[in-house]
Amino acid sequence: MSHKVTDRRYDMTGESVLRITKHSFISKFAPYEDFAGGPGWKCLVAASLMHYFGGIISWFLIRYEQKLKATARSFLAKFTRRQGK
Amino acid sequence: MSLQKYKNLKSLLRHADQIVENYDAITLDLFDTIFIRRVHDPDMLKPAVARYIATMAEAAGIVKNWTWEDVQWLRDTYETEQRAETGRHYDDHEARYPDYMKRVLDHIFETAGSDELLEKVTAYELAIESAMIVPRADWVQWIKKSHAQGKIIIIVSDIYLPSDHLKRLMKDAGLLEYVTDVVSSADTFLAKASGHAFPLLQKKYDLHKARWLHMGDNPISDGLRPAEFGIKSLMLEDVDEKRRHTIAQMYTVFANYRQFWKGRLLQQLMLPLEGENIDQPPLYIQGYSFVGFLLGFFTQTILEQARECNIDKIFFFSREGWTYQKFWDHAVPLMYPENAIPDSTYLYVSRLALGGASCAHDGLPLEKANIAFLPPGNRDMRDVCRVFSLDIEQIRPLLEKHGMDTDEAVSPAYSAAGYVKFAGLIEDDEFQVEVKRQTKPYNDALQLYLEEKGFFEAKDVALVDVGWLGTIQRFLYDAVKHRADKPNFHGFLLAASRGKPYPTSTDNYIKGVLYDHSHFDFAGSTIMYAREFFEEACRAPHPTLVRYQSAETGYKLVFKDENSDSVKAEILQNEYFEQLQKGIFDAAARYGAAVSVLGLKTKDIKPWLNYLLVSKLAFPKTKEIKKLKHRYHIDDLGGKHKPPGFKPEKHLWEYPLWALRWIPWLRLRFYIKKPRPT
Repeated sequence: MSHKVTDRRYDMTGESVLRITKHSFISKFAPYEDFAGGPGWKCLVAASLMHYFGGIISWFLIRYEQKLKATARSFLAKFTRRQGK
Repeated sequence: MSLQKYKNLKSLLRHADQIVENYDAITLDLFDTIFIRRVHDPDMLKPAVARYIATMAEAAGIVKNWTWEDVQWLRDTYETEQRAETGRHYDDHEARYPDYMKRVLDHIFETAGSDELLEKVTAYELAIESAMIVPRADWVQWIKKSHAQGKIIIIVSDIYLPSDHLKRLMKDAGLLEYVTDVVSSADTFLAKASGHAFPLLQKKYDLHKARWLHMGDNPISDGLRPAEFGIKSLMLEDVDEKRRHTIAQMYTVFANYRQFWKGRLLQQLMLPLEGENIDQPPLYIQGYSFVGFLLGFFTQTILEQARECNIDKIFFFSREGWTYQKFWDHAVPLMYPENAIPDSTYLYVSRLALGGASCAHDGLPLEKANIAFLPPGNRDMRDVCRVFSLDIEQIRPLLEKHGMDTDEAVSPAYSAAGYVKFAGLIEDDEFQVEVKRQTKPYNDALQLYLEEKGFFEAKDVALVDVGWLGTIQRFLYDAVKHRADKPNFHGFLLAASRGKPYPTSTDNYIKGVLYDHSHFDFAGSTIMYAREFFEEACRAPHPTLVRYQSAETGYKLVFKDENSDSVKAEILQNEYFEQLQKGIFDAAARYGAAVSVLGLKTKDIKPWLNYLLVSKLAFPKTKEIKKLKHRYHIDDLGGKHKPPGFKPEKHLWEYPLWALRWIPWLRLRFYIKKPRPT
């Protein structure tokens, strides 16, 4: 059966983030040499979210980008004022 | 004039289709509209060019040691200076690539006015750009359709590349013939961002505002400014593209944070997009995502080592070298400047052809003769003679002298007594003289062939082969070691099993790139599960070489008969792996471009490579093994006998599919159980 190399979640067909997660788990008790610390669970969670729910996240980001930026700016401004910087 | 926003390209183009008849002229933004970049940040492409210039400077012998960071700083400085200067005369602070890049090159190479140098660097910059951009399939269709309707289509971009550079990119994408013109702010310093580009376009092409439609992705340049000027504009705010960008950005951040993700980021940048990403058979996908990446790593290692060891020439051994060289030719030009890349040549060799040729000067010592007994199917003197291209009829008197028969078992796996007689024969000077006499013509032909290929012109040569024992290199070394002009041999094998110790010396060694048994590692060793697969997957579409033969013209290469059963079986196997090879070659240029953009070394990618090896070879899905397992594999050295009580050890990839599917922990048991096939 034919597939695309890049799947519709912008992940690699046959080497998805879920497979990395599975091997990250196996690597806890099987020796993976020079694995350089592995993928890390935070990265795996973030990557899974982006690949599987990235559509909703991106829609939200585009829809509220300006408001989010403004909020972040005002928060940073208040924060730095409070820090006396 | 109103500004309309669309959340995806299809809805924008659907609306454009409805209104396009009201417009004669259509201006389109280029980057992030018609072209999308594989990277999330266009500035990520600049360091690749800086590295290219730094390598060029090093190869040209420039005394000052220019690092790529120095070059990048210089480029940024001159670009900023030009933008500041432009800002004094125009509203837009634009820069023009040829202007500031020429200053950079003049500064580094101290060769004022060298247009050739600038053209070389520009060609590289555009090649990297071209490799990293993808035309959006829906736009391509729409532009072609509008062109057919007779619309004036003008591409307008605010960028440092002048229009003739943009035209080269458009041409690479196959779009140039469908557009009326390409306009860049770098030519006029009048950009869309300030809105000054629109009156310029109106004047130059005699456009009427009411019949003019503009489309793009920037809310200011492509939305607000054309609307202010009184042009109908449609703006693309593509959610899916935002998602793709965010994912690329996410992997870039991860790669900075954890080394493991560097290789994954590399593969993310290699992924086909838009029109490139079409339905492919499973073997193509394995070739692209798995074998292609492995060969990319292999190629890059050879390149790094070649530069480190001052290797002048690289010889790819037949038959797997055919694929390696093709991969090299596609990937390497994007990694380094031409003058920093060693020459590469494909060399027709085989164990069978070199076996005889290697005995012409030193005869056949016992250690070498034992190689004939490595395949368990080899039993008697007929097998030994086949491996070393000897005529058994002419050595029959010597066999009789040692009380041997042509069909008597002499392999230690079959008969200890026969092997003792065989050792006695080897020690017989008469036998050695006969071996040298018989094999000399093969060696003479080989010398002519190697001379023609320029083998003796280099001081150091890299010899590239799939593996596993380095027998071909061992035989080749024996065949030429008597010559004073013999180069130093640097052998690079995809994997070195070292099932038989290699006679290493200062001028002749082998190194396993993905795996070397001399320093075992779990991940790399998994390649030994599927040795036949790597041989079959990379094999050239020609039969194996049987011998070098003297001819009137000098020499002749004799290949196995194309009508033989083994060659017919190989052809069937090659046809089966055709899609896999297509995937490998499609991945090559993208690997080269992505590595250059990210500036990654092989040590950066190794953790991800280890992961790929383990997941695909040690813990493969059953359906992956089913697809990748070889069907027809013939060992050209192997005979047809079977040693008494011989039971080959069964390895993971040799298990039946039902066992792979249902036996629990099978993969893990094999993985942890250290011995690998040799």
